[in-house]
Amino acid sequence: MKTRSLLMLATTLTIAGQVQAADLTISCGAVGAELTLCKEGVARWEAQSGHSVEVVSTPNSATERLSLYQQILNARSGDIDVFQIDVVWPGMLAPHLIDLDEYLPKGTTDDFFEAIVDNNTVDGRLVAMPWFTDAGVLYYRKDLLEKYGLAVPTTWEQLTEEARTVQAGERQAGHKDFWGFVFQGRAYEGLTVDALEWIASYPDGGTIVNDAGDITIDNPQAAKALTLAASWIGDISPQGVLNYTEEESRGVFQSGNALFMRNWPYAWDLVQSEQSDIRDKVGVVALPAGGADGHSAAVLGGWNLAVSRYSEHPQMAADLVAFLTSPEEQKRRAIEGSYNPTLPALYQDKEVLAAVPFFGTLYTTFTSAIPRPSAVTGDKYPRVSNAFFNTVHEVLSGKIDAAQGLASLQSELERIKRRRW
Amino acid sequence: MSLEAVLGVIVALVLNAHFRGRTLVRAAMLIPWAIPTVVSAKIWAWMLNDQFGIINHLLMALGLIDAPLSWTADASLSMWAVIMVDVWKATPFVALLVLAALQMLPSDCYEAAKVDGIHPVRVFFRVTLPLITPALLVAVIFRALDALRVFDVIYVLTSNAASTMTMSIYARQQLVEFQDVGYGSAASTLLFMIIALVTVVYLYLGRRQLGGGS
Repeated sequence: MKTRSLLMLATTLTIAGQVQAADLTISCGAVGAELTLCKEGVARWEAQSGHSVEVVSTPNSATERLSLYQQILNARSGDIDVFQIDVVWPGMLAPHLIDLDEYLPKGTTDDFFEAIVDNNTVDGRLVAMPWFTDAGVLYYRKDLLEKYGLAVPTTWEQLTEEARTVQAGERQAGHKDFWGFVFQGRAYEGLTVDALEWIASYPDGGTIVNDAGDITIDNPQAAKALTLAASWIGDISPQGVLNYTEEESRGVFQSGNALFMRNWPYAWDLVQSEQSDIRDKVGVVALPAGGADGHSAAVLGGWNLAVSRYSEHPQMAADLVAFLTSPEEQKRRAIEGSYNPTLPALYQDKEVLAAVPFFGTLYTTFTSAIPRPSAVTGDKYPRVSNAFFNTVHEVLSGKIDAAQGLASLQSELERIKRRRW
Repeated sequence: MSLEAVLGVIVALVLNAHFRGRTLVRAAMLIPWAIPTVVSAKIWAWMLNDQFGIINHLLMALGLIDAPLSWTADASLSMWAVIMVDVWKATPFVALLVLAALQMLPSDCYEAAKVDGIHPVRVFFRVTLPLITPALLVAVIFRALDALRVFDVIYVLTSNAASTMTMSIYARQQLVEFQDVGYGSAASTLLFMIIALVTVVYLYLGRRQLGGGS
C-alpha cells in the first residue's frame, strides 16, 4: 500500500518535472509593486506564446541580489533563464550573458534611449535590453509646505532649513514621530547612489572616479556635501535611516511621518494608492542642488533584462525579453506602477502623463542622470562601491569627520586601483 | 556567551524543579532554538525597527526612554542588539544540555546536604555546579564555536555594516560580493584555523582543570 502510493507520488513528480522542463524561469525584483507587475506581464506572454514561465523573486537589496546572481552564473547553472540586472552590472556579468542581437530582429533597440543601450553593449555585444530606467527624485508633502508657507527646496541647504521648521512645528502640534527627511542610509549600494547625488550636486564636487579612471573623491566640495548630510542624522532624519533601504524610507514617508523623501519613481504609484495615508498630498521634483551655484544631480538607476548563456532555450528567453520590453508592456508598467519607460516616445504619451505627471516635467532629469563609475572600474566596481558606502556610512554615523573619511577613502581606492581596474 | 551560560543554568534549574505544567514550559523554552535563525532574526529586526518596532514602543510606554532608539542602525547599540538576539536564541540550547546533566545527578549528595542543613545556595556552588561542569563545558565550547562563525543573525539584522562584521561575513563578502576567490578562501581557512586553535586550547585547559580538581 505504502509502496504503491510512493510509486504514484514518484510518477506524478516525474510528469510534473517533464512539464517543467519546457519552462523558462525569470527573476524579478520585489520592490514595491514590481513582482505583481512582472507576474502580470509574464502571464500575458504565457497566454500569447503557450509556454509556461516561472517567476522567482529576489532580495530587495541590490547588493544581495548581485551576489545571488553571481553564485548562480559562476556555477554555470541554467536554473534561471532571464535575469533582471541593474544598470551597473552589464560589465561585470557580460561573460555569462548571451548577445541578444543574435536572437532579436534587427533594429529592436532603435527606439530605446541610446545611452542605456550603449551602457548595455559590452564589447559590441548587446547583453541586456533596457526594461525600465530610474533616477533619484525628491518627494515632498505639498500640504505641509503650503501650511508653513514654504517653497519647494532647490538646494540641500534650503531643504535642511525647511525640514527643521516643519519638523519642529509638527512635533509641537503633537505629531511626535514626525521627521524632516528620509533617504537610503544603510551600508549598501543604495547609499552609494544617494551619496553620489549629494556630492555630484556641488560645483566641482565631482565623481568618485572620473571617466579616465582617476580617483577624484577627496575634494573640499565632497567633504562639504557629506558634512551637511551627516548633520541631518538625529536632526531632521531619524538615526534609523542608517539602516534604511528604499522600502523602509517609503514606509516612514507613506505613513505621513516625513516631509521629504529621496526615492526612485516607483514610489509614486504606491504613495498615491488607495491605502496610502498621504494620497494626493505629494509632489515630486528634481533633487536639490548643492549650494547656490550647484546643480541638481540624479544618479542613473534602472533595470535591464538579460538572458543567461547557460539557458537551455535562449531563443524562447529572448522572445520573452522582447515582449516584456515592448512599448505596450512598458506603457502598462508606467501607468500601473510608475516605472520609467526606456522608450522616449512614451514620455509624450497622454495616458502615461495623466497617470504620472512628473514623467513630463522631469524628463531632462531622467535623460541626463549621471552614471555610477561601473564602466571604468569594471569588475572592481563592487569593491569601489563598498569602500565608498562604508566611508559615507561612517561619516553619517559620526564616527569620523567627512574630510578625514574622504582622505582615507582616497587611499583605499588607490590601493584597489593598483590591482588594475 | 557567558550571559548565555549563566541564563542557561538558571533556566535549567527552574525547569528541573517540580511544578505544574512543567512539560509545557519545557516545550515553550525550546521555541527560540527551534525557529530557523533567519526567520527569528527577521522577526527581531521588525521588533527592533526604530519607527514601528514594538521594543521601542514598550520602552517608551514604560517611560524608560523618551525618544525611539535605532537599535540596528546606531553603531553603539547595534552590537548590543545583535548580542541580545543571539542570547535569546542560544540560551535554550545551553539550558537543554545543563538540564540533561541535572537530571542525572545522584540524589544522595543532596540528601546528605539536607541532613547537614546546608544553605541551598552553598549546595548549588559546592555540589551542583561541580557536577554539571562537564556538561557546561561542552555547552560553552559549542556556543564558542557558534559565536566565532556566526553569520545569519548579524547578516539579517545589520547586513554589511562594518561595526558588527564577523569573520564569516568578511569571508563571504570577499568570496561572493567581490568575487575574489583566492582572498576569500584564505579568510575562510584562517577562520577555520582560529576556531580549531580555540577548541584545542579550550579542551586542553578544561581537561587540566578538571583533572586538577579531582
